[in-house]
Amino acid sequence: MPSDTHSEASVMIRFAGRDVRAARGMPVAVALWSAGERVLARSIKYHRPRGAFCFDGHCGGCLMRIGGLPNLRACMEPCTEGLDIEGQNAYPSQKLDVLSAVDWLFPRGMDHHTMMTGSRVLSAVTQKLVRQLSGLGTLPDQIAATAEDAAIVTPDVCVVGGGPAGLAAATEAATTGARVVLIDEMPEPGGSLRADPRYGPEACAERTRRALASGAEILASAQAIGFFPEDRGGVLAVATRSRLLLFRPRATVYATGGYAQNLPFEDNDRPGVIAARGGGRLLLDHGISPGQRVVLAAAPDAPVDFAEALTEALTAAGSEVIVAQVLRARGRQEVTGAVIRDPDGKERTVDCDAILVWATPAPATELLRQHGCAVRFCAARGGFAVTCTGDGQTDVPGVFACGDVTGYVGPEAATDAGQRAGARACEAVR
Amino acid sequence: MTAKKTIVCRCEDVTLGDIDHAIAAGYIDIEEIKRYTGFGTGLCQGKECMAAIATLVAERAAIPADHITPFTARSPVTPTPLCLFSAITPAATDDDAGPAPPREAFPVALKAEPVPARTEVLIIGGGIMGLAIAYNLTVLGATDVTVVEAGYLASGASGRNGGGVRQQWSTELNIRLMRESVDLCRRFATDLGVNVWFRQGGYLFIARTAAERARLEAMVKLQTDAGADTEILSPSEIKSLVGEISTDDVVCAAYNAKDGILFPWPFLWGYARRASERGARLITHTEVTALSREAAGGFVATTSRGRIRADRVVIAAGAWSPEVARLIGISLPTRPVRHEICSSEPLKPFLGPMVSELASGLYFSQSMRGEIVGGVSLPSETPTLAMGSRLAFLETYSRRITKLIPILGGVKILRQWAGPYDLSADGNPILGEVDSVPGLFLCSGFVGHGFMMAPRVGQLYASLLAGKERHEIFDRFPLSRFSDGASTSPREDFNIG
Repeated sequence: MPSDTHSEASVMIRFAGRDVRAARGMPVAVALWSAGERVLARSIKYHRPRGAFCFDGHCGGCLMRIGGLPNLRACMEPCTEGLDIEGQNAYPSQKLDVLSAVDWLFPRGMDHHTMMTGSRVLSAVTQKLVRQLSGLGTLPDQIAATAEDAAIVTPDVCVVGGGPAGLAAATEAATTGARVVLIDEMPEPGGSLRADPRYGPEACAERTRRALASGAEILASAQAIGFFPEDRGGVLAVATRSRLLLFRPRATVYATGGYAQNLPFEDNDRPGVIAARGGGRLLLDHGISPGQRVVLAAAPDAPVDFAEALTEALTAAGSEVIVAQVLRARGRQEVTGAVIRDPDGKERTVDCDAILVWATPAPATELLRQHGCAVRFCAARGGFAVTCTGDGQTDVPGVFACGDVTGYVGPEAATDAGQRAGARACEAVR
Repeated sequence: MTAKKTIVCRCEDVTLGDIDHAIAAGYIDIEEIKRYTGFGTGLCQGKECMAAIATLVAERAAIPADHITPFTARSPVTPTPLCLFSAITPAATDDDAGPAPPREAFPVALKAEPVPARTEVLIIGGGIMGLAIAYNLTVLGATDVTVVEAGYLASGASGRNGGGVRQQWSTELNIRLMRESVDLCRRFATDLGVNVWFRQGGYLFIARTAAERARLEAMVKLQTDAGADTEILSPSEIKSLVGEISTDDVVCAAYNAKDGILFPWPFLWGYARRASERGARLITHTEVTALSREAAGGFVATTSRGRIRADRVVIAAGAWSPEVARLIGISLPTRPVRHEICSSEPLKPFLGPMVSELASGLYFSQSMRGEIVGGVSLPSETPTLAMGSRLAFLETYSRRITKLIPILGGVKILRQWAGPYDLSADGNPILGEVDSVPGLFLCSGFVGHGFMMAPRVGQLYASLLAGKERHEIFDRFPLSRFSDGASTSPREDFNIG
């Protein structure tokens, strides 16, 4: 069921010279997926077909030229009437890119360090050719409008990330009377809950209402782009579409969650291979089935509860779901099948129209690392996880962390950790 | 047409095989593998791939989990258009100053290989200078050479610079040295078997005042006399070279078509690999903690991995050189100054030359990967080896670059970083043997331009150490010139871009 917050009014967007009908405000990548368009662009080196993967604004799968601007993530750009959308790095088109010959010419990959260094002539030709083939997008169509002046924001507590941990932290902190601003990069908060059938958009709306009712301010479509320890006594820079906000809170709670990860199987970048959470988001947030026949490939150590819930939800929505280890994606342009290994060890080829990949999300620790917080590598919990106490205190005063950024904990534990970190952050500023 | 590939970094098309290849080549820390394969340098900055690659490397190179560290988290965390940074009001200073910037720790050693007990020549610093000297020594047949590097290859300024290579200088000697260096850069890929993506797109110095014009004209005359074909371009000629430049308030520019840019990292890999093949030893992730003379002659260096005795020592540690020299009681009159730089999203080629603006110290070029890579001068700060990044840099950079090329306002910054310039009082380097400590050689103080000079200086230095030709640079730029009070060389004052 589509989220009630998307306007039902439809618009026409233009993709590769043809009109595509889409819901107003729907992310471009979702609208194109819904219209059956899987190949959105070509990759930078081998010109391999590329499409959306994470649907979460993090990976580099859906980079397109949108509204005259290069390299925008199609999953983060809303559809508007007449919006011009083009693929990149493809001649003459995304589907028939003659330069994909590069991929075929270098089946085992190319060692760009030593390539053609044996001959002066070939080397000179290579240098010229590589220059011409380099880059992704082209310059913007128009000179950017002058941005609004950056503003300094000084709440008591700034919560970064509006998933289960961040919403809980903001609610808890605001309940005690602190001035709290929660920033979230998506148009609506909820984070991983928006892609999780056990929660979904209604649960997100409910938790958002609670946060607002407690007095927290929510700033959506805002991305924390860096913590700068040396500027103005330390600022967290946040980019909105029109300007920068420079946060100087008394305490910061990082609830940045984790990034969707791919799995290493052959042709794992084929359009139609998407993150399981991306599939969940399509289904729950936008009411679009990821596929009629879907292979769900989970890493051996990935949390099973989400995979089971997603399988159930997809099945209920009418998709056939095959849970298996994927050895290879099939399909020249986009996924048409997969070579899989069944739980009993048998290899076989199946037809499918999407492969959903579920690996433990990688903790999104960049901002914490910029504060100087320590991280520890733990493959089972998704990668480099920030270290903190049970109530979220990191090794840097005034900096707190909760939820999956501390190593995957899942939505329930993230909610609890968020509450504790929110309370602890308030004590710290009192 | 596609071939089967397992992609580990979607943004840069890095395959599983590429990671194995890097590990086989000896690169096993995440920073090294990032540089060697390019993973994590694309639009997503490692969000989708770093954890997965760390897991792969831990397994394949058998590294314990607590030794694996992520690469430095660069800002902006998400690509952000330049125009947003232009709209920051410059910060009021003093009372807003942040904490003193911390020094960056280099990753710990992951390989437990021992250091040699003795070596004929010990080079401290595995940056471009140290490696160029080591390589050229091996070419001359002197192979008992050991290079010790505190971090990974390219961890210092050699891995952090903008890759500019130019012949436009204000002293005859530097013009001559750089003309020779440009020749070596042209041949580097085939001579050393590694692509450095040297592209001679020219170098354009923009003047906005009559005084700047006079300065450029004087330099052009000097350069022409020294055989470099530099010319003065009018605003309309500038426009025909780079159509996107706004020539409002531009008086003229100096342009040399033979100047160019290169990609710094492979220079280090190329020198390191060839020097190693010829017998030199390269030891990374190893810090020199003490350095002393031995009564019987020669030196002993204490490192984080054991002691090395050496007949002769070369200090080529860039901005870290004063710290190393202090270990043996030598005071170097150079200071480390942080210089910041940034890189944009990759764009199809449109910008031929490196462009620099005299007034602001702004410079930028388009790399072979299509990124606009550039920096700008900031008000001077206390000497520091800190390499952190500041918002104030992006603010100044975006204002200056969008004034010159307005269309770049909508172009996104991918990441910013910093490295230390090694500043000397007269803008010239410190070279040659120390009078008071025979056997101790210095090679530092290059004011942010050591990289482009290294191919030639490395040759000349190796020649000196091997007892062959002694080039005039060793007589012009000794340490003693500062204590004599009589600098024998004209000041080099064209240390920008």
